[in-house]
Amino acid sequence: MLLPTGIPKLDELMGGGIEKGASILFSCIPGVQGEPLVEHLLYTRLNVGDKCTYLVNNKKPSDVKRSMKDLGWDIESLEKKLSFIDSYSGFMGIQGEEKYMISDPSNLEDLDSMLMELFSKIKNQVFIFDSLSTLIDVHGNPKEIQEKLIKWVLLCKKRDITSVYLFTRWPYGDIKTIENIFDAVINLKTMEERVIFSQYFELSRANWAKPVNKRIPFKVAMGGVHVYMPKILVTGPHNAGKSSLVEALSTKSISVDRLGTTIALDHGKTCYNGFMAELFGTPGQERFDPIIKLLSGEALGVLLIIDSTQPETFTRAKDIISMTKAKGLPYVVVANKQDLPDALNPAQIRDKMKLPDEVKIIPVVATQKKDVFKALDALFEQLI
Amino acid sequence: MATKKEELEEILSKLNNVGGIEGGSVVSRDGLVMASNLSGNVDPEVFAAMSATMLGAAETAVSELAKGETGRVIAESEQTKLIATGAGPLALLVVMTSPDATLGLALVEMQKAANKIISVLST
Repeated sequence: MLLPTGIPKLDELMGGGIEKGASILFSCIPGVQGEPLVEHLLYTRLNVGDKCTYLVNNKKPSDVKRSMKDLGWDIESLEKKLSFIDSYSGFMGIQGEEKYMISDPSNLEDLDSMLMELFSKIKNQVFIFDSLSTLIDVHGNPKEIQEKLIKWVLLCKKRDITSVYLFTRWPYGDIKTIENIFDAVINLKTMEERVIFSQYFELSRANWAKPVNKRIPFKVAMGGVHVYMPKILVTGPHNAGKSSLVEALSTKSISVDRLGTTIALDHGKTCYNGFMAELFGTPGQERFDPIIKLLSGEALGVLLIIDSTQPETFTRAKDIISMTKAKGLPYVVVANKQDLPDALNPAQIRDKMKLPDEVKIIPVVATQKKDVFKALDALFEQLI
Repeated sequence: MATKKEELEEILSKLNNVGGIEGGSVVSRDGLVMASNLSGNVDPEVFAAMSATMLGAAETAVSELAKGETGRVIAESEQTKLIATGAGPLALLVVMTSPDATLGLALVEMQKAANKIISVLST
């Protein structure tokens, strides 16, 4: 049985979710926070009724709750199903509030006997260990920890406890040996390609799923972990409906328009189906071409919108695509104004524009928000 | 080792409180946030996109006149001055100052910061 994490793209990489009883390591390079992914998973599992136990040794349990609340999750109503093991307060000499306390986290034997006892009591749960690297830091002997880890992971598997470990890849020496203990490893890394800085996750391996070589860029915001597209260009001829499309797709949008025409750009942010994207709408008239060129760099994909009732503007649409540096990027043609009687259908448009079969044409009515997300889906599908 | 983003954030934080500067962003020429320390309720993504358009449009307007290169764009409001200047071919630097800031010092410090940004991005 596979347990979905609630992060759609992560689930997809793993063939649907984490295998029940499996052990999974979130392996983060320093500077990337793995906590939001684990919190997203935790929230999802609590919400479907799973019981969860969360061991924390680098912050207070209340900090975990607060950070989940900051992501917009009502954690209080789920608290009955969640128990914490507080391995931090005792260490810091402050008063803890949890039932399970570990007074000296550097004492591995204490931790071991407590966890072994716990694992033989509970069953069919989710167990989170936050974080493995802190344990290595305070204890200092990775070899001994590895031996215990193997025991913990095995017992959890026997008891159908799905165990999740957070780990930051400080230079501990033999990280491979640690990773090999787990059934699955998710890597969290950063990329500095050209000028954008972004973070992504990838599945290093999962014993139950086929390997997929995909990097998923993500961003953490309200609602948890989102696949992040820092720039999607929305462009097309004058009066095709670019601003309407940006507005229809966005949770929050801004337009710099004068006399009903966009003169600088439209900017919108869309959160949809686990995706988050920044939409950049360009002006359409030829006199603003320098701005289109300026804004089109670094785009990941293009929504090319056309007025389906105005075939004479289709040449301009193709000119814009070739003018933007976006040439060669995946694009979707958005056939707008389908509610008008003389609108051409996708087949007629494909014929008039001489578009190859692989280019998708999505009929929409932007002002009524009709089918606009189908266009976004079609583009996302090509991008990830 | 500090990432480029951290180095840019360092440059921005050193710029704060000098010559009335109250915060700023390093933005890619095409409008994406590279680093930002704007305070309060500002959406850095929107701010970045608009700043890049503002400077880009001004540069294009000036170059249409064939009157040399645009040094900076200054937008003044009752509550702030907004200054955008190029920082090499990849990036621009934009800062907010207090409304009564005297621009001399702020502009000199911005130029120094812009040069540092260029060298961070060219490594």
